[in-house]
Amino acid sequence: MRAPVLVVLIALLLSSCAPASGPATTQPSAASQTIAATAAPEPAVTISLWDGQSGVLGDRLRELITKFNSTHKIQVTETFQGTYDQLYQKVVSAIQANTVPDLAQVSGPPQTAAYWKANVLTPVQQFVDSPDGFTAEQLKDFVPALLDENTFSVTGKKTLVSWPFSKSVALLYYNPDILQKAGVSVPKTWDELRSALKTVKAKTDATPFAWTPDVYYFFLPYLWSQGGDVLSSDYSKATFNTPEGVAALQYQADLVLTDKTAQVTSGFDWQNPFAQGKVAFAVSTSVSRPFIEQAMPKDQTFKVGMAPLPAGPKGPSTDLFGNNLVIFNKVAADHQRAAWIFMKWLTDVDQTVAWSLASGYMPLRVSAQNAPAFKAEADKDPRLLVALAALKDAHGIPGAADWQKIQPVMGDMVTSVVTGKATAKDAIGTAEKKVNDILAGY
Amino acid sequence: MRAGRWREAGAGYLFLAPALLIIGAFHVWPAVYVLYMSLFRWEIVQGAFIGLRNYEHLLSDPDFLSSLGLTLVYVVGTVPVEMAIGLALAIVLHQRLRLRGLFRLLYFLPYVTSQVAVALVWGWVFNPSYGAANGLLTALGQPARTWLLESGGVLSPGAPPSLALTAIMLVTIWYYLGFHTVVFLSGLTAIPEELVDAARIDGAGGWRMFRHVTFPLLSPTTYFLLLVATIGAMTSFNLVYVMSGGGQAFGCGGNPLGTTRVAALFVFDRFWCQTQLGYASAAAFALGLVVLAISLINGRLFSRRVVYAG
Repeated sequence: MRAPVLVVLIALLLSSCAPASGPATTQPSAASQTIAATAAPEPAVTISLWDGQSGVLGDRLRELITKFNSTHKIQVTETFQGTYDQLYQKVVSAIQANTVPDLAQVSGPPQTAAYWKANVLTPVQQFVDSPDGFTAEQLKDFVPALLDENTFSVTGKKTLVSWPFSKSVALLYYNPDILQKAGVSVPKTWDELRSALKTVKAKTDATPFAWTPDVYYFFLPYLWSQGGDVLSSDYSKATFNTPEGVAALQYQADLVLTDKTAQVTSGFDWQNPFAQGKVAFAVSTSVSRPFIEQAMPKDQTFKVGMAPLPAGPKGPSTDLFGNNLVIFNKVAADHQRAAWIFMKWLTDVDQTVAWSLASGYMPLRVSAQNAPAFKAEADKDPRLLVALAALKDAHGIPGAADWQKIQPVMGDMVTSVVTGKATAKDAIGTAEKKVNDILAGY
Repeated sequence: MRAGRWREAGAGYLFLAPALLIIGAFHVWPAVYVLYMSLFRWEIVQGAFIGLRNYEHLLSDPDFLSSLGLTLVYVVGTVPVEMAIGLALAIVLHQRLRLRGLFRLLYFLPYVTSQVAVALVWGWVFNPSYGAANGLLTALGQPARTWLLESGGVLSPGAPPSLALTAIMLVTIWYYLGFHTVVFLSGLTAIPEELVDAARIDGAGGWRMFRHVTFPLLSPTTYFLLLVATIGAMTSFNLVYVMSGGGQAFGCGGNPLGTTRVAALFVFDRFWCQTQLGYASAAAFALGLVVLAISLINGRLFSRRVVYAG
């Protein structure tokens, strides 16, 4: 009698020691799996979503959720938690208090990596491979770059940890009226952009360029377009202190300090002057268009120009922005499954098209890009295709858990150069040392 | 007899209970927990116990040491100025002026306004593109400045305070001026009339009256304000954080180039932006110790000079 009890106890103990989720997932990968079982009935549960979708985009997201709730047993409650940084901070607090939502938006791979390192996520792969998921064939319909961005190496195996939702890329915005007045065409290379700004300065009274310096707009795309990269592929070392890195910094210093063609702003302060037709060029994500159009004076509208970021010797490059979704492992299994069903629904063709048209984010699926509703809109306004075309040149933000610490160091590097406080060479040397210290880990 | 004493003590503790509960829950317990967290590697979730290693690292962290330096600059640049102007205003408003009540209200108004609202409005005033500060400079024929984006020093290019921190210090002084004025006014009201009359009969007036009668008798108020304002300035967060971009303009707080990253912002940055919860807790606890040490020094230096009337 005693022996079986002992065996059961040991078995129970062993099973409770196994991680609820984590690197050692034993689920087969989507590529090798065909879905055999039929999905269980949908759980009738209410799940919570925390997001950072503000203004118009928040309204559109709530409309999508209302549509989901009216057609499903699962009910989703949405809470807007502020900017992506504030959302992250609130999730970190919730982790301490053990009150995490069922699913949340993450601003990109670094935040996913930080959560993953803390072992608070259930990898989405688990559901992708389940009867609720996709066949390998179905999964091919998703834009590969978007799945790659959500894929992490887990014990040497590629695993989808988060799921794409709202994706955008960095683009060059321009005011066609000012360009026409100055007689310049849309620049295709960094050198062309620099000379176009000089011409705008000479021939018009517009501000040639306005932007808020950080690591994403200019430094990274310029570096990538020269063939450089910011971190080593295993995220163990800084790799940006190279002639390409120095050139990427120097380019910004040249615009601000030498040519005096670029105005440094703070936050989104470039947006209103641009919307008022006072600025020729700006750089931002593809979702800035609705915000710019909203800020435009009614009697002074113009057609906002959008183009890919200029190219370097190795071709064009841009950053992949937007947000992904994650599921937390502390919530009940049926809530996790419900969260996945909702996430999957969000990326169905109908929803991804509706979300893309409403928000300016890109449709996530190849079939969505060919869907009649999307094609009809794209025919009317080819600007919808600019971001999609740039996607092939998009690099994800490094999925390093320490990127949250690295980003401000890189931001300071750019700021110190464009404000003339340091030379490009000195600033990059200082930043390299700090980044390597961070990666060496304290 | 014994039961009566117990009942009396019980009633006493009952009266103390609300305050003890609030102080315990929102001050003592968090402080103890911060100390606990500071002994661990704690990034998002609790990690290994590392003893005092977080504190050791603080001592060699240039960002932490510079944040303490900036805090000192901020305290020295705000507290004495607020107190001096507050005292001068209190003396003026203590006279029998017309519209005295209105002036008292006007000076006190900023202090009862939300710090975040105040900081946002001043952020617009100092905005380099459309701010009133640059409007004024341009009207006077002066070149526009970048204000809260300017990391260059006002005294010398490389030394603190930066123009950004100086602008924040000016707003801090403007904000707390009313508080100092009102507290000094109450101190002035408490000076016994007979002492002033006696001094006047002895021929004192003007500066001598202030130097030998008013100022010494105000010393309990001055000491109180010095202590409270120093502690407040050393842990100042709201105004500095919001005017430094509030996490919107440059990423997390303390910019440009860390020149407004006072100690409380350093703690915030490491805790919330870099999610080094254990390390930030160590910084917070260390800051608490520094504030305690400075308060003790304040006490040593000034409490013996405090004179109480009567």
